[in-house]
Amino acid sequence: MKAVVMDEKDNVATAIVSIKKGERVRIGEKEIEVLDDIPQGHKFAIREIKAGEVVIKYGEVIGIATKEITPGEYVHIHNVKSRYQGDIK
Amino acid sequence: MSEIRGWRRDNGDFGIRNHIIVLSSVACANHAALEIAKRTGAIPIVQEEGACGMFGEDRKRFIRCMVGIGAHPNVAWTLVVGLGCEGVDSHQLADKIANKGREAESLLIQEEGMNETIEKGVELVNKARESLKPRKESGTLDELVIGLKCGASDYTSGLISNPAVGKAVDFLIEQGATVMFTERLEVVGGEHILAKRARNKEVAEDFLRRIKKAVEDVNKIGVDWVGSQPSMGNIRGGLTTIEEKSLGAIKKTGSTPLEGCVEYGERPKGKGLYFMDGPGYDVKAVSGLMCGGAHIILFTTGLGTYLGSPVSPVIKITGNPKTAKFLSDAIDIDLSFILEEIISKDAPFEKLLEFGGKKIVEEIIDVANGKLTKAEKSGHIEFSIERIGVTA
Repeated sequence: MKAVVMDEKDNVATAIVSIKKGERVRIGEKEIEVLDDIPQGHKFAIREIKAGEVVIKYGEVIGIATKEITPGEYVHIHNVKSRYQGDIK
Repeated sequence: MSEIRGWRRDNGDFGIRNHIIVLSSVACANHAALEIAKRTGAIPIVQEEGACGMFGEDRKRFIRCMVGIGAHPNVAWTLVVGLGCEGVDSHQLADKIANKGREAESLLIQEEGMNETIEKGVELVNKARESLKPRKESGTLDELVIGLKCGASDYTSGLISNPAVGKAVDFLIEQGATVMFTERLEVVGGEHILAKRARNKEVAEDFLRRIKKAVEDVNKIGVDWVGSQPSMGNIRGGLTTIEEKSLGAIKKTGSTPLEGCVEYGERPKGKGLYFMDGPGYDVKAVSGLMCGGAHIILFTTGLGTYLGSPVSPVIKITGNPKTAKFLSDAIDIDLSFILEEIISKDAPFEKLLEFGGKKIVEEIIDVANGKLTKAEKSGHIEFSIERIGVTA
């Protein structure tokens, strides 16, 4: 196995090995083409996530997408922000 | 239930270590405390900040923490060393420790002079050592208070080490033990899950109020959380937001009800799962749990750390294969086989976590019976109390 999905509600998977751009990774019944290099332990989308939509891992909200994320795309601080982040002075 | 050999204190507490400690009550007395400890082999606990010029709640928590150390079940005897003019002097602290039914002596440098303080201190410690008893009294698992902490977290923390600790915690609580978790900002994003598990409405409200305040305190500063919570190390380890970090972190707490909240350095009054309102910074979190009477602290780590505690043995647990290999002198329990089994064999995850939980319980029983943790063997005694006020 190359990636784990913690809960059926999740829209991201966690790479448990480093995954190269273009690799096809089995997620449950289907296969997803990974669109970026994903370092071990980092996440990629397994569904389309629109800007402003919630990112879900462990079946819970881990943040909000700041731009559109397509399945297979790298998900990290460049396209997700915390819901708890207050105004930055 | 597993029997544990340790020391029964006069006040009924059961300890798993029999430490003699030299506690400075202010940084101005650190030199004397360190010198006494050096000459006797006692464990020094010294102040790195504060401890004088404190007001109100800040002062109150300092006293609570100091008394918590002297009255800790793992401590046999305490010498408190102070300067003399500080806000909370050593005689007062020793009296408060004695009021808890425990043994403590005190010396003030302004009353004795530096050399005399050191000489008298050495004499007192050596005398105390003569009356130490061997490890022979029996106690049980339900008498233990276990602290929980995660540090240098990465993706393996929420995936492996924290859920395995959660399995161990469920077992310990079923046996009647007390378990404390802390790190107020590292429940942010998962607070609704814990509030649902609260024993009653009051506990849920108290818990949510504390977490809300912690979030407001950070947002008041008006800065980006990224880089602090999660830290740069967490981010390199794959954690994107505080929510993701917290949802992994709270897996340590298992599945039993949340019985209540305690203040930083306060000992829970009941059995079961408690939240200590403390910071996430490793040394201050571990010190708070120690002051709150934790017999043992379970410390999960992704990227690895060597941190210990002067009084509470710290058991390090990792699910990260690299950390287990390169920092093997820091790690007590290596659960990285779980990750390897999932990668290579698609193995049943839940069963592996249960097996990991059993390994953790076995290690707790061994450490309670005297097995030294890696941090104990290498002499790690880091200590720092979380301050909450201005300094005069």
